Amino acid sequence: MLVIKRKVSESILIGDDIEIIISEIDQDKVKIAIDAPLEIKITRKELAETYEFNKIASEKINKTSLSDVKNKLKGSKKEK
Amino acid sequence: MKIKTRDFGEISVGEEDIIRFIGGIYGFDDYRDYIILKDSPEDDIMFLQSVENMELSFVLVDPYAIFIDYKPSLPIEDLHDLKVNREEELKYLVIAIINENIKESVVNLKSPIAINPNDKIAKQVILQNSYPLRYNIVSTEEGKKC
Repeated sequence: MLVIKRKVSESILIGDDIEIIISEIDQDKVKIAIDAPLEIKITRKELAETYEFNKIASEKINKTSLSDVKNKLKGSKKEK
Repeated sequence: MKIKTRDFGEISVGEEDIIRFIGGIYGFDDYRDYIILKDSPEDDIMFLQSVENMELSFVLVDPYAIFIDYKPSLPIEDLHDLKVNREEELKYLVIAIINENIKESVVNLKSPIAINPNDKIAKQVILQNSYPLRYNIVSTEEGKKC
């Protein structure tokens, strides 16, 4: 993985037509401006992962597996 | 009214049991109305059953049964959408993937279902906390932290 240090208002280019600009830094948050062609899909990673998670979670479940999990949860509660 | 469910057959529900999702669940925007079903009242595991599509149902888990220190921090827009001022006014449930191998059964702590119990509205929110998106329901090592 390529790692680059940048200051506020500096940017990086990916290919010829994607520009990523560091617009603001505040403690543990960074505001990024992205300039890219419309056909480039830009998604926050956790959003894409949540879509994927939901898709798998909506599949029909095995009743036995569910009772296993239920029993485990009950068991761990009693220990506390 | 009577509705058909995936796992409980045909059941009758009251209008007041229905929770309306604002924006739907990510990937399932067409369906907004759900009910929460449990095998028994003390269960930490429950089903989020779509009222409109009997085949659509999710397994939900009470996050506090798995992760005691769960303290969601929501973007202000989500609080507005859910008509509350503070995170504490909402109830949280997390979506689970139940795998045949119990060690691979996980919950999404990063994107819980936030419910306003008074207005019966809900939203799947992406938290500002850096909670894991796949957290093992059964911890492999005790005392595992996020």
